[in-house]
Amino acid sequence: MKLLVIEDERDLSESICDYLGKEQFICETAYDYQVASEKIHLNDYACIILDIMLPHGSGIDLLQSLKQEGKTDGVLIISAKNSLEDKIKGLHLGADDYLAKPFHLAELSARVAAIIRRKSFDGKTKIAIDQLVLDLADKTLKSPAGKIIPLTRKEYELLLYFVGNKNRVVTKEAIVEHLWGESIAMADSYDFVYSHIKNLRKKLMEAGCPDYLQTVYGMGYKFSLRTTA
Amino acid sequence: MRLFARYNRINLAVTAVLLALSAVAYYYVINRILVHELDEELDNYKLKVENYASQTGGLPEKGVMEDLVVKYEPADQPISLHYFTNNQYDSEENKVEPVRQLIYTQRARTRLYKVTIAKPMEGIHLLTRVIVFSTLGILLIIILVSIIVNRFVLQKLWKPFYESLNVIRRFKLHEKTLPEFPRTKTEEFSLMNHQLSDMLTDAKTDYRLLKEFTENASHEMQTPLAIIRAKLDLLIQEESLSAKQVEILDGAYVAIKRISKLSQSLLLLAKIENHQFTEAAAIDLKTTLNEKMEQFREFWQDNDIHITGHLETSKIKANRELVDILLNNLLANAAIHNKAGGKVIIDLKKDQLMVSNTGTGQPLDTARLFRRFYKQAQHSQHNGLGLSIVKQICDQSGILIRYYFSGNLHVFALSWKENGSAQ
Repeated sequence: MKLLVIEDERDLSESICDYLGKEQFICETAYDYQVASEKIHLNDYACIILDIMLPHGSGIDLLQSLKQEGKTDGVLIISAKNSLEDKIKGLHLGADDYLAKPFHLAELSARVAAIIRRKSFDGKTKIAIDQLVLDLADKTLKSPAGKIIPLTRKEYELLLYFVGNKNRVVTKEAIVEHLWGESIAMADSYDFVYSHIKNLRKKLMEAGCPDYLQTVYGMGYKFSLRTTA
Repeated sequence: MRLFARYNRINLAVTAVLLALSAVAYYYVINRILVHELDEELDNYKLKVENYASQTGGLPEKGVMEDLVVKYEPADQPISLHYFTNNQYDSEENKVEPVRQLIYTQRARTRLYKVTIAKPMEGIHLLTRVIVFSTLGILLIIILVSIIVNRFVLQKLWKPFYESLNVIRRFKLHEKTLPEFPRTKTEEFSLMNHQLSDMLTDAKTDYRLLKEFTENASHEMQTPLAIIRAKLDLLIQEESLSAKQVEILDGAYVAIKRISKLSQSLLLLAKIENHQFTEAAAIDLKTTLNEKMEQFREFWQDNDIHITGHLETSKIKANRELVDILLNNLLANAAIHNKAGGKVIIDLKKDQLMVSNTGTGQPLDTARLFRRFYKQAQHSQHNGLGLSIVKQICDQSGILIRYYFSGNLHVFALSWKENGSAQ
């Protein structure tokens, strides 16, 4: 699957590509309006990561011309301007999501994964995780034996987040921000994440799965599927 | 003291002293004039006596005429003419009265007589008093009237000044509108208004520039912050990080988090001040608060903080995003500044919300509580903007916020008019 990162800051652009490239994505970059415009016209992408403020033009204009052409590429806007107005405008013009800088790469990855899921499943709402099947429509997880593994809402969201960040270390802070919002992320301790991880791990292992969740000491967690890792 | 009052006080004091002095002076002048008149009357009679004596050689009949009392006594030697006043007993009215007398010697029929012509002064005393009192009375009335007139005139003349004063009092630096000063024909006030208007416009411009600077600086910070964070996110993917390296990375993450939170808070403040959140809707606070409490519950449990909520149905008309931030900040504040085993009590009524929490046993400094960068402890990880954001949102949404410390609880009490609209 191909992604296009339209971001004029090379350092940021490279980091995004580096991180997302660890998955099955192929990342292309565009550093200014013209290049981005050309690439959008020539290719189809699973998802376009779009910065609003670009040299020689605005990301909003790119979004508009993309939609005028009737393309269905997913679009995730990343902006330094955390303004509701921009967000509403972007979403109104057909962007799929909006993320304010500075963000965690894990968050970006989870959102890109979500956009791609929505765009490419065409009604198919089941994700295979190794031997497990995650049903997005009724938010359930089925074990290899076909039994439903009951998950709390937080555990379900957590699993989905990990699926979007497979084989990568995710910090506790990023998890808290994703699941509880930024307000609570001001807290000094993120230890309460641990109990959710523990429960999720327990449920998965009880269903007969190997231990997918690996604790990275002092940092966070890594979700890796043994078969692909 | 008001200008009028001061002016009146000085004016009255001076007038009273002047009035008293002039009353005394007036009395003496009038008295002198009247005595002089009296003396002339006595002179006239003396002239008559002299004429009579030169024509007939004798003295006119002694008697009481025109209130005059005339006495002749033989004298041995001439006495020089003199006037004087002395008190005499009046048998008719049975009291002592001052009498004006003229004494001189008159030669008649080869003899010298001492002639005394006397007239009671009762009349002139009465006259003096009547004249002095009526004049003073009129003066007093004139002064009173002029004070009243002055008052009205002054009030009218100074009106533009007080209007300008009101304009300044209502002036808010962060509001968009420029103050409008009343037009006045008085040159001084007109000049003053002009200067004030210029000054306030300058202040507003400076303030706006400062705000824009904060906003731009915060914006500019986001991209480098995003880069640093992304780089860190990549770095932790490395397989062979040592415990030491992890510790260093963790420190860097914490610092990045603080600075990005700081710039976001500053941006938010700038946006609220710029009235960028104008859409208001009726918000069901009970539902919203329940969701928030659910969000915070795990954090509270984990930190051994007990939460109790008494929520009644309540609605507020305000901006949804702002109310969201407001509640987040209030709850986070109550949670973060709590202690292990502490409590958070949320009390929602129809038009009032109280968030109370245990914490330090000391009340917070109310004067500085809502100020930017106010921190109880200087080493705190928090930027001290949370409560100033809360205050700003309350001000903007027509919510009254009070803090008090009671029964070892820090209480933030918010109240609003049930049907009041935001802004």
